[in-house]
Amino acid sequence: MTVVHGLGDGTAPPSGGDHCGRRLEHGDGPWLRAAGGADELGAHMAPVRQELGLAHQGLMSGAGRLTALAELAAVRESWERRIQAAQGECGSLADKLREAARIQGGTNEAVRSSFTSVRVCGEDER
Amino acid sequence: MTPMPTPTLTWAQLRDVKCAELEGAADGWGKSSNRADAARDRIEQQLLTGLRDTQEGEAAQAAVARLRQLGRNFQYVYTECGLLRTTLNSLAHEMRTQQRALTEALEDAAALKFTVHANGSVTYPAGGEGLVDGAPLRGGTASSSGTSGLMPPSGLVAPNPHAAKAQDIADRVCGAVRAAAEIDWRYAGILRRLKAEEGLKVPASTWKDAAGDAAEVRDAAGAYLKDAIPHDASPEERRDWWAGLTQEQREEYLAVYPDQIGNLDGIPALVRDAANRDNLQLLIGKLEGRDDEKSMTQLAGLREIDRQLGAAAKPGEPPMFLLGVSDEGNGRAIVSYGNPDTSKNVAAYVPGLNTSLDEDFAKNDLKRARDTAIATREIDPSSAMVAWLGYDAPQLVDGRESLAVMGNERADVGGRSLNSFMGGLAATNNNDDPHMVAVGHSYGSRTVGAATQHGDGIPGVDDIVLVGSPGVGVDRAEDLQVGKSHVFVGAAENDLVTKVPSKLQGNMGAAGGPVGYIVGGLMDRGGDNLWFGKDPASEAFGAKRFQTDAGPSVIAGGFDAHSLYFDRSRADSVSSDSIALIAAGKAGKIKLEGLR
Repeated sequence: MTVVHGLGDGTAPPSGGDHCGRRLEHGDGPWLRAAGGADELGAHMAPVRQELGLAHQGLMSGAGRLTALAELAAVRESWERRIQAAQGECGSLADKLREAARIQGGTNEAVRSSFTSVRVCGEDER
Repeated sequence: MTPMPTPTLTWAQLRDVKCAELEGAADGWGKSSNRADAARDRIEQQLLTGLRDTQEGEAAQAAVARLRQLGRNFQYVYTECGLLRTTLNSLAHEMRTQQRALTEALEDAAALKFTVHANGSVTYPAGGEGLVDGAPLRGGTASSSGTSGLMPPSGLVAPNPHAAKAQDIADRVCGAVRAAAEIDWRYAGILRRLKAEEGLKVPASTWKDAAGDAAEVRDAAGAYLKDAIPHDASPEERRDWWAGLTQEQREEYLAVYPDQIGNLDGIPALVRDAANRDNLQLLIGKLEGRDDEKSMTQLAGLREIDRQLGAAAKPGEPPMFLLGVSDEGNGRAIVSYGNPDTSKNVAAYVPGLNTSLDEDFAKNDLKRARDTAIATREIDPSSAMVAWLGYDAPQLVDGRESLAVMGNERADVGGRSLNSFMGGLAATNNNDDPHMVAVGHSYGSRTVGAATQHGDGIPGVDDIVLVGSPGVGVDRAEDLQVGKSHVFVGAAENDLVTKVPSKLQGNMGAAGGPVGYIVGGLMDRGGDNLWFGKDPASEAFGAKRFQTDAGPSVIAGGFDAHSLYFDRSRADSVSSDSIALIAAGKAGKIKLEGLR
């Protein structure tokens, strides 16, 4: 549980500029860092499938005929799919963040459309 | 719920259930939950912060939206996988209980040389003596579900003494198998509902389902987790209880009881914050879609808090900790700006009349705490300020009548809760002797006053600040149990709530509005007291009165002067400067004003 490792107490990178209105300030740094971070998240979640498989290995052969175990198998599949989808999103986000870093010469709107065109999330969410 | 099917489980199958392997599977879900939690944390603490703080424009906003969505997804994975872990541990726990009962019955059968058949019936040998010929009585078979070979004693024939023992064993075997089948069926139902929704979406309806899942797992896991949360213990005992749990146990309590752990005084602030961020989503899911006014009002407040939590603190700003949240009563929300466990100075602001969990609280009352935290941290960076809505403040919907009825009761109940909360902060603070302050505004000062009247006063509190006070329920500063030189009062010249009636008579007509009624009701027209005792700004009360801006006159601003004590946007911020100095432990530097 990450809560025991603690949250930072107000440490964040310095903010950029003091303009007002709609600003457009890009630097390769944060985009590429975020892309790297998204890749790392994908790698961080990658072992889940194998870990769950190992954790259930003995169970499926040894625990007998509980109905709950049949449900558990379906539950596991559903979460593996969900986590795989999240991993895919990490990879896709990383690509888009790198692309955003590359096309900083282009317009801001173009960058935005490159995000929205691949959005996996729905429109009905908060 | 579908009716439970006829059990197909046999005792041999129950015997062979590998509970340790169920627990191994539970550990696997725990790992997944922790991975998701770490991922969510990484997104919120690093990725989002980096982009939000250094990038502007629509592209950054699109990236932030997508990252935030991914973060919510991981939060959902964390929550549900945590529930799965506890579900499997609890299933193993309950199965073990039945396995033990079965094993004992089988051991008894073996000792008696009885045979337990696959269908649970128990065969026993010949035994005893016949009444007529003295020969051993015939053996037979006992079955819990009928009479297979066992004839009821006729009265003329002495029973085989093995028969009753065999029947008992058969009943126990059958009972364990039936109970195990019921457990299996019940947990199968719970597991079925813990399946992941497809895709990456985490709409509010998902959180509503998650809240239902948590409640269901909690019901089922009561025996396993033993409902051991020490609600009746002191904050110190709760702190020690938490410290004594294993990491796995903590994770399970957080997964199954986030609402209880998040609001439990004595639990460390970081843990409460993490639990309450989950609670917040679960509460939003619960209230969303309801059309009653209270739900909609609270939902707006919760959404505003969620928005602020999502906007990570900028450099130099105090980070935000959600130390409490609930839809109990008029709603609860406790927010700290700065970590109250690591800060040397910790102050809690208790709001007053008409405060409840709504958008106004989430915006304005939190802003007061936040502004004060910023000002205090400029004086001493090791400072935190809490906005504490941990009680039902009086809601004056119908003027003076309401207050007359409520009187001191809300303050008394709230005071006890405040003591528990401050005791919790004192217990979890890492500093040897933290400097703690209670700040009461309006009726909140009455609540602070009530809190001081229990035991040795408010636990851990060194200084008390009373602003816009209609009286605190005691007549002398020393009665607040911090020493009179540690009681500070802000009473603006034009704040009618702080005025004795004799000075008000000419102004009441101009005040108007519902607050006019409130003040009308507050005043003891016959004497020099406010509604709740001696005026804290009076000579007789004996506190230190700090300077405040007079505020707009009653004619120009009505009751506006009652709401300016924390205001830092005005040219004259002498009141909020004083509160910050006191909160930072530098009360010697405040500018004093003459007592009334």
